[in-house]
Amino acid sequence: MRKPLAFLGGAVFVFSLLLSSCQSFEEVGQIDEVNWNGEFALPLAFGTLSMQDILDEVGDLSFLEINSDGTMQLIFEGDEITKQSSEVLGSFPDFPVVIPENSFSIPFPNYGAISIDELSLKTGTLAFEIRSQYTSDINFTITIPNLERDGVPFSISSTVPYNGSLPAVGRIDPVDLSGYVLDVSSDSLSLEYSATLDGQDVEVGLITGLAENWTYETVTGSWARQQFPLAVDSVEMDIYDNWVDGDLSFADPRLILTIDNSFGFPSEAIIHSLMVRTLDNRLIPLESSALRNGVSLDYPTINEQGQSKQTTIVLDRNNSNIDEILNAQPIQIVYRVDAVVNPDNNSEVGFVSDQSAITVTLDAEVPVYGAAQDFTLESTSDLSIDEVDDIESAELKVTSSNGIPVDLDLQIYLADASGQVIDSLFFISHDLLPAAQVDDNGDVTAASDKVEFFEIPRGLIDLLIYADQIIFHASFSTYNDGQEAVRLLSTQALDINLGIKVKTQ
Amino acid sequence: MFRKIQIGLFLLLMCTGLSAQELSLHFMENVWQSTKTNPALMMPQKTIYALPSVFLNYHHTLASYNDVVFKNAEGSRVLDLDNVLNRLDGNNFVRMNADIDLFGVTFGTKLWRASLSHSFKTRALVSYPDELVQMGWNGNADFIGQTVDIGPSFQTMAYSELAAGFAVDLVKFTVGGRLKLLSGIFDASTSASTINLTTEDAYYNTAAATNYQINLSALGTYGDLDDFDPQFDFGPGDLLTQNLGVALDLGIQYKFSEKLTFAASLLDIGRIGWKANTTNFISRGEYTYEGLDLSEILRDEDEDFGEIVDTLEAIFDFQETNQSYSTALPAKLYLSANYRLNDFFRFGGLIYTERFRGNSFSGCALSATADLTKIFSFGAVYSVFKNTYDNVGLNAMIKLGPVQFYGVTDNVMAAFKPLDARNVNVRVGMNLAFN
Repeated sequence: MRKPLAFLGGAVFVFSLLLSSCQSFEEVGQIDEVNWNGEFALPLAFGTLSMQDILDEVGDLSFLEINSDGTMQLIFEGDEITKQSSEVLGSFPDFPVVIPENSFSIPFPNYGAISIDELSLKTGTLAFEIRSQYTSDINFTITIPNLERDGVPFSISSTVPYNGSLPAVGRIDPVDLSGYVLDVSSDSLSLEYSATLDGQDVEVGLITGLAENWTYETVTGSWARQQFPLAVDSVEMDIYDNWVDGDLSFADPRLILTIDNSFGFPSEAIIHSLMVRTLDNRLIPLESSALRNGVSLDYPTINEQGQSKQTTIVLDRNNSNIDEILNAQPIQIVYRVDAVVNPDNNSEVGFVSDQSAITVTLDAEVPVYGAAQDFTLESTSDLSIDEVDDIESAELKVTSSNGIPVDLDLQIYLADASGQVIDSLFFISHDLLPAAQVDDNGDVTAASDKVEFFEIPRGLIDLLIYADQIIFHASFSTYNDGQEAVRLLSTQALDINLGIKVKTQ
Repeated sequence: MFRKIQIGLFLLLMCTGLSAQELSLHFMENVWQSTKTNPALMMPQKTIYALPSVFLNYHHTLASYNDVVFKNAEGSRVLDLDNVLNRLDGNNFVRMNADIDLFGVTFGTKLWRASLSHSFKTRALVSYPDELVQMGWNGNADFIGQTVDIGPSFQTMAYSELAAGFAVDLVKFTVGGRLKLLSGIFDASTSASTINLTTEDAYYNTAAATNYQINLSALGTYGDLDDFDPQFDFGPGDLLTQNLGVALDLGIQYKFSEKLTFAASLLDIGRIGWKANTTNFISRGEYTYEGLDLSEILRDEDEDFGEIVDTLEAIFDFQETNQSYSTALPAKLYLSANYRLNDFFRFGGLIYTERFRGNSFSGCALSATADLTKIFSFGAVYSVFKNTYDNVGLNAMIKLGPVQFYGVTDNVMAAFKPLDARNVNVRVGMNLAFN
């Protein structure tokens, strides 16, 4: 019996020891810190960015034209400057009419520099006043044989009433002449009248009239030589909007002056000045043999009324110094053009309508074929990154296959709210994205592949959190450090994959 | 965010499992509940009424709570899995069992015994590969260029068990059996659990190929995977539900001599068919996350990091069906020998194995028991099972008149320092025993 009791005593002793060390569950699940040093690898982004995607992102690319074969050109379009015939000729003058006898001709006035043969009226009126010395009512009719509408000469009848006093006065209120065609090839306007008193022909003393507010649909005649200002304008070139440094050269730029002419007379354009304003505010004149003399403009013949003829003047490296001026960091093209009608001042009959106009446009066409050397753009964006405590450092992996023959270097600056640079995020030495290789013609032969790693230590992460602005300083050079002209196609593309390893803490 | 996910993962692993073995109970031959480990064991009392008792068991093969949460010099509670990663063992388990025995009765003679009992039981197993923890804690950078399966497999089920047993003494042998009618209350289990995750070397693209299926059945509602909120609608009238099953326990005891006996038992051979309110969430497919599409960004189309969340949904893209399914109970095998030295002391040895969801859990135990008086016995058990070698169990029975109190654990240290234990196991209860 002693042994079992001893065993029992021992058991009680052991249990009492164990009970004294019981644990509390109060703190279970309460964790103040996590000693975590994991490293996670994640894909950040991927994409095949074609030239078109990239250029679309640049902003308003109304100036970019893509051809069906993928070649591209920058089109900087000037405003369309139009000079209407009414601006050149002015309004048609009012003129008086006198009919002293039954048949009478008066000289017809010129319209500006135009000696009119025929005039198709759009609007206009003709009013008359008759003074009679008869003490009875007089009936009368006025006719203008060469003013016709639908083949019927103008004619109007009325009465001069006698009211007990002389002279008796009769008036014909303004008659609408819309749609009448006036033949004044003889340079005079023929007018006739007839008057009767009690059925007997009589003569009245004086008939006067006034032609007012005449406008035309068409004027046919001879236009004496006349020079007038056609366009004074400028074309903005946005290439250097965010430019910081570097050179850009284009292999085959062109300026195209297009003039649409619906004046039915021989005409000429005289380019008084055509200059390029550069980034450093210099004005460089364009010199071209094509511009030394006036440029004859095509025009519609008398049988081509309603048509417009186009004359195109192309200024390229073969007939001008455009290579030089468009590779001198141009930001604006300024020009002034005059027009001369009938420059030889001959008597050729032509026409002008109320719709006739001369329209001038100046476009700069810059094929995306050229070279860039350290062409640097800069862009600033607001930055707002929330606190990230868990990240100790990161490593960015950039894998690229560049099918675009342009190198990209990138420097990223961090700035405070005032724009003061506080640090650079990292400097990517030359060739972040090396240019695709090209042949002698500047056409891509092979993409350039590259894998680049960038360490982002905790200190830089803190700076990213602290910074208010991020400044991208991107520098582009075409293949072979900008020494070779390359051809950019909309179909060329950059394959890029961004991965990141993040170390946690 | 990562920290919250990790803490959540950790707490889930620590709290969802209890394990199944009861080694020490087997040696309590004067407590009727020992027949749970072998239906052929026969009690000397004529009638025993089992009053409500509780059994809890937890086993995590990787770590105890205090292995991964400790106080540093500043007194802060620090979560750190670094110290336990070297214990990863290919496939790691968290197990949890909880039984509430409502009532039981056994009666008979020295030649035969019959029994009837009812219990509510939960069985839970979470199995997770090393890579899930390594990737969750250390990140996936170590797995660049590799494909690893990180899919966890799990089963959590609750059911009621109505058992009728019978044992008969055949002089040298005692044989017994128990037929159990099972009625499922809740089950959440995976029937496929492959999530192959590949971190590609070139761009760190992350590819997932899934063959994953979660089956759910419950008396009540549980929402869906995005808003899992089980609301059980279970009462006394639901002892027999649509989720029916049958299981069988078989045992034999061989009396080699007056002092030496051998015993063997095979338990929980059966399964439950789940038909009530079932939903099958099935994910089969492949998905690769490549990051944000720069060309979409350039086109100013919606593209942000919220897509990552969409991507996770896209990876799994669970489709729902409502097919019934069945799950097997964790089958157990006990092989034991018992040697009675004298009226006071007896010794035993036990080999145990369990098969659950294709995994085997084995252990062995040695016991020494002192039957100090007719009213008090006390025993100690040393056991070894998966990855744990420091399990010293105790059991005790005290009988005051017909009232018999008992308590048993396979890891007594865990009973008092559960936060240091990877294996916690305890059963306490009370019987009314009449000779």
